[in-house]
Amino acid sequence: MPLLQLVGVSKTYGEHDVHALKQVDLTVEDGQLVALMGASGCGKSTLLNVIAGLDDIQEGDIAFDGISLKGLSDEKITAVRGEKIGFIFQFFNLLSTLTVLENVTLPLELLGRQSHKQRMAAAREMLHLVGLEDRDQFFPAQLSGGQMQRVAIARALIHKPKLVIADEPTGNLDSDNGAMVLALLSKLNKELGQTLIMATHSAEAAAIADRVIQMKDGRIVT
Amino acid sequence: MSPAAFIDLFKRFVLRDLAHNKMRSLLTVAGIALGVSVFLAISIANSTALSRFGDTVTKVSGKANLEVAPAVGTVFDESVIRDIAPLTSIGVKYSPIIDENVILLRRDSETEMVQLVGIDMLADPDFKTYQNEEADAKAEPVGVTDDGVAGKAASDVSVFSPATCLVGANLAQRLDVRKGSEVKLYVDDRLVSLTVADVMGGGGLGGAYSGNLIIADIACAQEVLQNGGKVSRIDLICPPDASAQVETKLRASLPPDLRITSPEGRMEQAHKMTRSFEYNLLALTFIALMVGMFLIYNTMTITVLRRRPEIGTLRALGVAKTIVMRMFLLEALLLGLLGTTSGILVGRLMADGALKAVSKTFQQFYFKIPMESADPRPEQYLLAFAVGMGLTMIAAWPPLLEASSVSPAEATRRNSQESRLRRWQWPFLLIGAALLGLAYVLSLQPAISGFPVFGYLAALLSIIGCASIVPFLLAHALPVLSRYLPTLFGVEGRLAATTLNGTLSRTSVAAASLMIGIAMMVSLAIMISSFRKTVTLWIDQSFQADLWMQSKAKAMGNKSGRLQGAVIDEVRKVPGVAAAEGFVERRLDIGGQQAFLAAADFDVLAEHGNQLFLSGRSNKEVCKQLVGYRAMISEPFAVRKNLKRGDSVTVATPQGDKSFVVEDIYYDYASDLGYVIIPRDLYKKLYGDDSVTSIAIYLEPDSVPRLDEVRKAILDRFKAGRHISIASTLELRSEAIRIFDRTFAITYALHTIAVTVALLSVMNALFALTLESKREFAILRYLGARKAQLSRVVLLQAAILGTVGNIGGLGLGYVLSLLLIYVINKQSFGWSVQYSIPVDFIVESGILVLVTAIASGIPPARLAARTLAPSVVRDE
Ligand SMILES: Nc1ncnc2c1ncn2[C@@H]1O[C@H](COP(=O)(O)OP(=O)(O)O)[C@@H](O)[C@H]1O
Ligand SMILES: [Mg+2]
Repeated sequence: MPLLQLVGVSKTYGEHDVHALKQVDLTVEDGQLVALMGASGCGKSTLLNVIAGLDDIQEGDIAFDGISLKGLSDEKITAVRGEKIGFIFQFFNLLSTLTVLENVTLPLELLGRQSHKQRMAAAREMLHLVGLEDRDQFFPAQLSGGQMQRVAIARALIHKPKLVIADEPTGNLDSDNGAMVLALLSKLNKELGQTLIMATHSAEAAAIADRVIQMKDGRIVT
Repeated sequence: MSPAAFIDLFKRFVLRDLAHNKMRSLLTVAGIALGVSVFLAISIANSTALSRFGDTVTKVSGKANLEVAPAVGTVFDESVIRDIAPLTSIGVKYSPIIDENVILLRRDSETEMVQLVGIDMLADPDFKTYQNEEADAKAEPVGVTDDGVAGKAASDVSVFSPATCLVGANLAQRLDVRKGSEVKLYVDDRLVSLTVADVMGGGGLGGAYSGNLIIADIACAQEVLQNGGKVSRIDLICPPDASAQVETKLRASLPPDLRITSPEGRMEQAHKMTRSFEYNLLALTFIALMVGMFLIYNTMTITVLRRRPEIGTLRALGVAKTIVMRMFLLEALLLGLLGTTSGILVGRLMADGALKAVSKTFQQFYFKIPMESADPRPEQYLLAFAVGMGLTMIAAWPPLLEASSVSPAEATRRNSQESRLRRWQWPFLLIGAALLGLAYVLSLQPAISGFPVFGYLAALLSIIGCASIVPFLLAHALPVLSRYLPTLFGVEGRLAATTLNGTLSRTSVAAASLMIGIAMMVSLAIMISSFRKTVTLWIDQSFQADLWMQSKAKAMGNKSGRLQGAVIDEVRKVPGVAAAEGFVERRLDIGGQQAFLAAADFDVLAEHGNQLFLSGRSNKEVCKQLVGYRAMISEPFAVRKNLKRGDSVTVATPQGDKSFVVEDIYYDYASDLGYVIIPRDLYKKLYGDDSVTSIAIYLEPDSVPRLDEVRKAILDRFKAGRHISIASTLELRSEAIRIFDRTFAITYALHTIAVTVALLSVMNALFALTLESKREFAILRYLGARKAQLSRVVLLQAAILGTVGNIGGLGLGYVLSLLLIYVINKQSFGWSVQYSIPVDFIVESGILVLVTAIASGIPPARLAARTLAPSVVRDE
């Protein structure tokens, strides 16, 4: 059974009748690294949000880890997202008032699982993985862009999600930092078998993917 | 920038934001409206009351430019006319007048106080004008005073037949009295009937007391009052150039206990008397205006802080500093305009209610003027408008400066202002401490002409001082909370505390508002409860008599209602009565101020009473000393006149001014006017007055359980034609407490307003905070936070603010209560109040405030839960 399966998914945005997704079919297997490419405005972010259950859809069905998201209550979808999905954003989106360590433990704390000790241990492990163990008491404002994105990656992974969704993770980084982040993501995919879907503009990013999907005007073209 | 472009930008940048935050905009407008309406209502009420008073004085006194009135009591012997009559040779005209309170028994058996005016109807036309209603209707517009009409109208009616009177139109209409009806009046312990000869029109004398009066020929009035040739005043019309000469002549020839004043002097005195009351209202206005200013400051500050990055963007796009400033100025003007106009409308509606309260106070000092409707003057509206707009601009100034100081670079920086406040917390702490120190110094200063200016200033400085310390406290408390809250509330606890800490300036403004609201509530509660406790304790200790006897008229509110002195001996004869003590009180004009001169049987009081004295000496010890020219004075009198034990007070008597040595000062919470009590045997000799206004009756110990029987026995003894009232101490006590509670009802209303406003400002801040945290909430949603978790973060923030506000409010409230009790009230009224904290009330209301604070977090919490994650994050 595939980890993720979209069948005939369509999404229209309210008043202006923007058809952001049109009859999208997509299957992602466990352990794949999928790159989503296409011009700005073609629907990449919408597709990712829809997969995470953050936006509802008008047509079609999404099955994630054997569960159909269609018709699930917000509460249930939130629970699925909290447990099984990790997010990485273009603008990092760390919480400015929390330290690096606190940002990383946040998903575990939101789930309310594990003891404080276990959470700290898991967070340290993740920070070690992204090479920032010595920055755990820093605030986001005291980090560079690349460092912030690595903290965001640690945060996305701490609760061992089935799927990590990254929306233009290198879009706001210079090429050196971008390369470092891509190397990290690739390593996670290769060594830990982490499933990853990544929306991106860059060819470098596409190069690390198992599979590249091209989108245009809300449709998948390849 | 062209004006059109400016308006466009203003519409898009400011008006849309106001519309988006409807609740907060509304709240701000309401805050200004509240302040302006209270200000206007009170100023209209005050000026209406004073102008009606003045109106009555001129209508009763007519063209008189001098008047002779007693320094003690309300009446004096008309025989002094002897000394005045010769002055007619230099063109002086004079007219004796009776102008006394009487109690009207209405058909529904209720009583009300009205004014009985007695004039010499034959001689009077020079002084007053009088029209009956028909004359009014025929030609003269109401209020026109035309001498010619008087003689003609007066001859139409039979006011000269015995026991007849004229009735003012207003009174007649209200009580459905007409020509030929009977009116019944309680005078002292008698019930007197008069036949209505006619109803008077509203012009001239008939319009005095707003037409709520009874007018009789002076002989008839004297008959009614049975005061044997006594009058209230003698009005004089002197040729303008002779008035000084007349005054000197009169001073030389009249008895020393008479005052020669002018009607204007009397109005001046009325103004002085109501001043302490006016100041209280002023304080009320002050608080209401402060609340309004605070809301403006709060809303605008939060708006500017929230929109800093956007203001920065505008600046980066080339919008000049002055344009930014002008936009927010226009916003303030707009809010001020809306608030002020609605405040003026509401204030006009509230004025009638305020007028009722003010007229009650007048009644306490002078006479009853029913004042149903206020008449505002146009300049009062203008003043209210100026005050509303002016204060709005003052309150908006700091946020305006803040807005214009935003640099274009801040477009990209988040929370830049926060680090600034963090740096400023120390200076703020120092400023706060300095202000508190200054407040302490001010609190030690004496009143300025009876008004506690420095007390109020100290209160204001304490409030600002404590508010300045809040950022420091929060900056240190919130990190601690973020460490310990997670163990109780999980990650939401940490998020709540860290977010509050991250927006320290907004958090501080909100916590400070709540603190101030709670402080007002706490301080007023402490003041009222201390006062109440002091008063009940005082009643329980010093009211030793078992029964208190008065004339019916006095029991119904006429302060000078008397009983004959012989009544005391009658009472003493009733079986079961151990002792009876006569007490008489008379209005006293002392140095142009009102007080009471009273006389008591100190020999009886020494044995049976238990007055409490400032010196701590026992009742017996002090009363034994009170013989001859010695007096005890009440605490308010001592404070007002700055008198100590051993000083002397000078009182006018028919035998000239007499000095009394102050033997001691007694606690008195029944009146703030002040009493001088002298031995009654001396009083009788000096004033030739044997009557009393009340009798304290002490029962034999074995008769105390049969209190009601004894009371009945006494009443039976005076059944024939005497109207008296006997109250037990218990009844007196509960009546006193009832009056006390009623007096403070308005204060309670006030603190409810204060707390409500404070809570609204917490809600206001939480809304702003939630909007500000939208992005954080969206990220949390991405990370799998449930809606309930987001709500909980906001509710926890509300709880933290509520707790901080409570703690700060208790501290500040304590300080304010000390100022209220030991400085402001002491200096205004002269009462020593024993400090007592109503723990139950404060705990209960603390919990209530906390719960409401959390509840005020519900709407913003729901807003947080509705966060649409993708759209917010996309905004990047
Ligand atoms: N909340 C929204 N309301 C209306 N239209 C939207 C909304 N969000 C996205 N869109 C539209 O949907 C389309 C796809 O957007 P998006 O998924 O963000 O594109 P991408 O991430 O590929 O750049 C665009 O045309 C965009 O304008
Ligand atoms: Mg996108």
